[in-house]
Amino acid sequence: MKKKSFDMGRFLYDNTTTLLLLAIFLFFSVFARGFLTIGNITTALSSSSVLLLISLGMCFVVISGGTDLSVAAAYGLGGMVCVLCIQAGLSPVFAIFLALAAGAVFGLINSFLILKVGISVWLTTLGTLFIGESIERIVTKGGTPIYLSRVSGLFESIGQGTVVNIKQQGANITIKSSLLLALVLAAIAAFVLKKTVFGRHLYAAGLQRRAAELAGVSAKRCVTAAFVASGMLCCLGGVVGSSQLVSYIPVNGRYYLLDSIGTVFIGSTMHKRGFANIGGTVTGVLFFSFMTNGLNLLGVQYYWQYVIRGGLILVVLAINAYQRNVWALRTK
Amino acid sequence: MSNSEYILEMLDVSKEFPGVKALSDVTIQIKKGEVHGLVGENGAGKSTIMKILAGLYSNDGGKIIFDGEDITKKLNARTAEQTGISFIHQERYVVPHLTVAEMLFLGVEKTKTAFKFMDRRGMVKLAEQMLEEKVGVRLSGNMLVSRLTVGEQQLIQICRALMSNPKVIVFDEPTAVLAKKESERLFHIIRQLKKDKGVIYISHYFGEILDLCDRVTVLRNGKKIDTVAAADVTIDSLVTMMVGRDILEQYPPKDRKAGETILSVKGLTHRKEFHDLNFEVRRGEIVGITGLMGSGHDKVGIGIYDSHDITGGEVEFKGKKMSYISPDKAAAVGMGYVPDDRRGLGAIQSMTVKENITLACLKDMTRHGIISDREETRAVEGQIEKLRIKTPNGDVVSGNLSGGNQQKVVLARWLSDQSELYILNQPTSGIDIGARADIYKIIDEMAKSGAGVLMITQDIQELYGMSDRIIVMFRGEAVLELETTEEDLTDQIIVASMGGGAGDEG
Repeated sequence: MKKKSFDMGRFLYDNTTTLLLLAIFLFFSVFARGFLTIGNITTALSSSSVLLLISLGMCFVVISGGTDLSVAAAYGLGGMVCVLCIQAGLSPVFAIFLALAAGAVFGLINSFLILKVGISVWLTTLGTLFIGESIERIVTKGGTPIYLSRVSGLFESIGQGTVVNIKQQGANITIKSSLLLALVLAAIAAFVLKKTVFGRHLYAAGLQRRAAELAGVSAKRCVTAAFVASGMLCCLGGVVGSSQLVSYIPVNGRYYLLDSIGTVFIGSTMHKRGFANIGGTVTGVLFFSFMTNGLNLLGVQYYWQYVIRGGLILVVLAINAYQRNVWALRTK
Repeated sequence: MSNSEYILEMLDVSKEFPGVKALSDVTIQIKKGEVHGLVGENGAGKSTIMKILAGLYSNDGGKIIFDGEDITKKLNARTAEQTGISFIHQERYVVPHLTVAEMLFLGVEKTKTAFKFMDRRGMVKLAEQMLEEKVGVRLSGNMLVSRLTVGEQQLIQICRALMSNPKVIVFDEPTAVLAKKESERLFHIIRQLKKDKGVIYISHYFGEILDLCDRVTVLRNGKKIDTVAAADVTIDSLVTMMVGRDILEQYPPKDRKAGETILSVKGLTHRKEFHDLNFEVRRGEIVGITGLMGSGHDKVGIGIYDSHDITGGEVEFKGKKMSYISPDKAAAVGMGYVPDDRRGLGAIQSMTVKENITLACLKDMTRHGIISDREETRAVEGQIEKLRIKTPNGDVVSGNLSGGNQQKVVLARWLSDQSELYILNQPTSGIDIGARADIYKIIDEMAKSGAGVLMITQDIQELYGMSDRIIVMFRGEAVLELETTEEDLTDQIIVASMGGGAGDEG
């Protein structure tokens, strides 16, 4: 064996996304006043818990070989079920349980349409997205938010609770319990995908469905599980979101749909073989959170923020595609 | 000109890819009026030199002289065809929803009037005329291409190629997809063609090469070994030249012992491919199934492994009647299926060798549901060594391996799962001869370990060399079942597969 020498090109190629994230972080640290303070960083992190939950769900479906457009509807559904139950006087624990159950059922409906009826993933989730959002509008009589007069117990703590709260010399350091929850779930998801038979089989089913089936993989069961996981994670996102807002705002999930697709695909560029993965997805979420936070601090107009964000996604993907080609040639 | 005897000369052609010398100083000279065979293992450089000739790659060194003119510089993907070199590829580039005439004139449509309307009627007529003239086949110009046989589709391609009146035609493994009769028709056409052209013929089938070609060039590891007259060599000597070692004992000796019945198929009927099949496979036995294309023999394996398209009959495995079988169920009870399309259905291309090998047996490598890296790596390293899979380690992406090594990966998958019945669909098609011998050895060992093997193949030599028992199918029925003996009964198999029963001969 030859001794491995450090290859700069290879290093850059393997770490494009991480390096870009660092570059953005540095840029904001230098130019955005107040960005590099513990208080601000923790705020930015804590605000990303809902996007992280939804991105985890999206990640499962992307690994299974599709894209889940209905995450937006599942997010709304979770918030709606939970808030309506609490309004009706049910205990918060039971309300959250019902919201998660609704997510599971939502995922089952998606997978039934895809696997048994045979509609493509794209069209199925597009359909359930429209239906889900319409139901949100119907239930709320045209989209009027439902405000809760009080939140308590588990429902309050899931969105608003904090695990760390230090106020010191003007600095305000808070880490929300929702962030901790999302990170714990991310860790579990990463473990399941990397270290269990299900995870390996899910990747196989997503890459070449029939080949996986012929190898004895219960591909349909894997895909179903991915959609159920997505439905539940998004509904949990909805619960967290409405807890944070102390209300349920209908058809609010669209905001997360494109972001979650973005985070998963940015994350997949961090994988050697371009597979969607949890570590990358978490990085993608951080990328978006810091972007939003930093651009807000710089006072960039809301609409321009989306232009910059879209541009940066394209830059990451372009660098990745370019280097993929270069390396394909070099290692041929 | 001194070398006017040659229509095409590739002189000292070299090509280097980063890290790999794909071709070093290869010289191939094609005479006018000859069929020139080109043989070599996969990776020997055949396709590289043909891609240079097609203008898809540029060569690093050497010259290409065509019809007395140096065209090395001029050659690119667009000019090759215009220069007078045509290619008939193994894959059929046909558009199924076009008619014969549309396919034939695709891109060179005949038009009339100043508005360039397509002259459909004229095209149909001309197409029929050209097909009969150039390749001697009568086809309706209005027929959909998708309704033609593979051989007929190929004829359309040949006819298309001939329209530009090339001086050199390259056939790249044209018979790999053809039934025997269609192959013979193709040979007839090639013999006609060579009268005023040079023909380059690439194939893995040495019988064909010796039968058809006038001279043969052998490549190995990017170097030319020799160009010989076909009349002066035998299949054995060609093989030795090609692999650089003797593979005399290609098929392992049949010293296997059949045990109890492991698979029993009764009245198995497919939606449309075959009906009322009855046969058994015993432990320690290799049963071969063959037939021509369309005989349904190639669907028998998947019919046992997946009941999706099965409409009747029953399958008994290890003494237990199986009701509806799905692949995951079949794998769980101890069957292993190796599909014919190894890139699409066999090895998952972007997964690593390791992940592919353990895909079926991953459960056995877990502790409390957690995959044990160490156990997995150790098992995979064992298989890589045992099966001689050419890969530096298990973390290489399977798609980067050659076809033969990918096939070994799929075989290793089921060996790791310790399957008790191996169903192999065309296990060696398109695989070079070196890897082929390895695979035969693996199959033999499968049977010797006490498993049953059901091998589906169209290669009669392989069928006869490997099987203990052979089932021949014709139009969806098993027409002949025989035990292999010392005596060569391949003629009987060929006759049966073409519908001539032993009874109504003569």
